Amino acid sequence: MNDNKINNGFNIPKGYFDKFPIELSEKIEKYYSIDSSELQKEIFKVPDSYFEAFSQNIHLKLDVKKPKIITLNKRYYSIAASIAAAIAVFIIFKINTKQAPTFEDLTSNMLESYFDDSEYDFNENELAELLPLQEVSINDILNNELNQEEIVDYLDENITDMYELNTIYYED
Amino acid sequence: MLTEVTLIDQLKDPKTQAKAFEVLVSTYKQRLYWHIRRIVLNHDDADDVLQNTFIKVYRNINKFKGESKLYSWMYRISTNEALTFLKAKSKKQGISDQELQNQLLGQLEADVYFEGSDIQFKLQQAIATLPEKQKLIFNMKYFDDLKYEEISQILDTTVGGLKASYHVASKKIEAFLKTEQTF
Repeated sequence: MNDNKINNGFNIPKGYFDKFPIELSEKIEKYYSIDSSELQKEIFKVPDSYFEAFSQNIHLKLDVKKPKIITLNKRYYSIAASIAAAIAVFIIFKINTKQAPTFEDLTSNMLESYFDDSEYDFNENELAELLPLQEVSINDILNNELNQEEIVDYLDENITDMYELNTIYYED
Repeated sequence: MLTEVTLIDQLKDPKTQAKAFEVLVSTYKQRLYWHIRRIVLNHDDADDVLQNTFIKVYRNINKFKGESKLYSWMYRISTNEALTFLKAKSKKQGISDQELQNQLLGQLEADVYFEGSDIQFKLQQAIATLPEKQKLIFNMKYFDDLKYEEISQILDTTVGGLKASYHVASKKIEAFLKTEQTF
């Protein structure tokens, strides 16, 4: 597109826009008896030596310092080794005395990962039969409200075709 | 004198990056500073924005594809940084963009780093009344003396659109100065 034509059939003299800044300056000059170069002169100032200092400051800001390597002498090695040994003994002792985890200790994520990663020969119905339902009432399910976000996340992960959600079938 | 292509290559190479960045900063700091200063008006704010601009350039140089000139890309970053800075400032103070402009202009008169005459101050007042894009275009053309093609790359606007905007902006400034002719 020719830059001198702005799509509406009107035309302007060649170089009009390029001359415009000069003409504007001249007009202002005429109105205010001021030299146009004065008007365009920099009116803002900076503190002394600002630009010289800027280069140094920006480098300091971006300077990624290498981590210091602290050399340990032999005495510190033996102290560190003793502390490490003591910690190791303490951890082993804690692990051995820890109570066996119960079903309640397992999080839903852990269970899901287990079922996802393990191969087992049960189908969903067989698993349902194994689920102890004596202590579960229907209200536990009905009162367990899911928020919208959980539902949307579930649908995102499990529904590949949105038509699967369409439970109403319209017949011709 | 390094060519732009060589400078970009050196900026992307970790071995030569530090030295090339020094060259980049010393080449462009003043041009970018004045461009930013005309948007934010105050020296301390301009300094913050200039630093952020160079930090962004340093961190994103590998994303620079060379589709535009390096300085156009840096101008674009500095423009965005300055506008974002002003928006954050007005939001922080709970005032509108125009109210912030008025506030900055008010402070300008007392600013030790401003040495404009009355007419130059009036010109700043007139520029402050322009919509954001017209203001940028006017400053880049009138003060920075950039070519329309260069401004087009920086603001991602057609040259035709820029010329029209500059014309409208200049007319508004002229009208403002006429009505304010009290000296």
